[in-house]
Amino acid sequence: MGSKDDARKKFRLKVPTSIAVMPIRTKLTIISSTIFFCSILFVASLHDFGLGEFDFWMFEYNDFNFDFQTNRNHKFEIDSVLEINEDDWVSSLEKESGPEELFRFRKASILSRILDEDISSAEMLYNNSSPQGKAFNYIVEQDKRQLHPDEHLLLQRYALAVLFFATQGDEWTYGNLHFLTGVQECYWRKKVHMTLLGVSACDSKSHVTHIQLCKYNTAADWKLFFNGICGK
Amino acid sequence: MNLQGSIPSEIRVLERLEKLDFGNNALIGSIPPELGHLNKMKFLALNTNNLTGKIPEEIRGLDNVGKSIF
Repeated sequence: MGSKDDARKKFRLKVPTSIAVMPIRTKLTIISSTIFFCSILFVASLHDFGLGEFDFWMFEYNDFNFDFQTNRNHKFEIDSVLEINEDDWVSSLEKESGPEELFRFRKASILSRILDEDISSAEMLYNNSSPQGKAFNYIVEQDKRQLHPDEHLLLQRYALAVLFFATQGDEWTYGNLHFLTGVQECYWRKKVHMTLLGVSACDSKSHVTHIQLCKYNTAADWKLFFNGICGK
Repeated sequence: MNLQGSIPSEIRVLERLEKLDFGNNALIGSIPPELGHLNKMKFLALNTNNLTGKIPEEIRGLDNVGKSIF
């Protein structure tokens, strides 16, 4: 008996009196609400670390699904995607003259458009190691969208690619922010610490209106979570 | 964000640009005067970089800029 009492005394000494005295119902309420708030914080932090943006990954497998799911409230954007997909200029030209001819025709058309509108110099465009040359190669060869040379948003995509290469996008702190992926360039962005970085806004016709590539707060990560990277 | 290199003049293609924030990076070179052709610009931040040269006259002519930080 004596040893049991000692054990109880020891136990009571360790637990603060206020908790020890509480009825079991109150204790359960405190525990369950703590678990509830912790789970909310956990889900929020997942999103903050970019895991909530898995819809961007889905695009890699299915173009249309991506645009349909994220833009279901913006019909104009779905329309613009369908316009590109349904465009039959590629197939018609391919039938007439073959894929190589098509490639050369497209490359020459894009080149002359950039030069005619005096956007980049020929010297920079022909230089494969310059940002302009890299961006041109991206638009012509690697870009999954393979835009028509006359597509009005082609130069916007080119300019953003130049910005990526000119500012050493490979070394950006938070990765490439979906730059140069197959999504429409208004989605070349990523939410990091509650801040949209990259192309942070477009207008109703998919023209870029906001670019945010800043980092003002160098505080600890948990502070960035509340204040954002570019400040409030 | 660790932006290095320089601001490309091609940015003038983005005619509807209202906000451009490159603050607190390691950009070098000069500010391209082409930025002055972006008439819709309302907020321009290029502060805390290693940019050199003068602020181009063209940028001073931007009417809509409510706030700019260099």
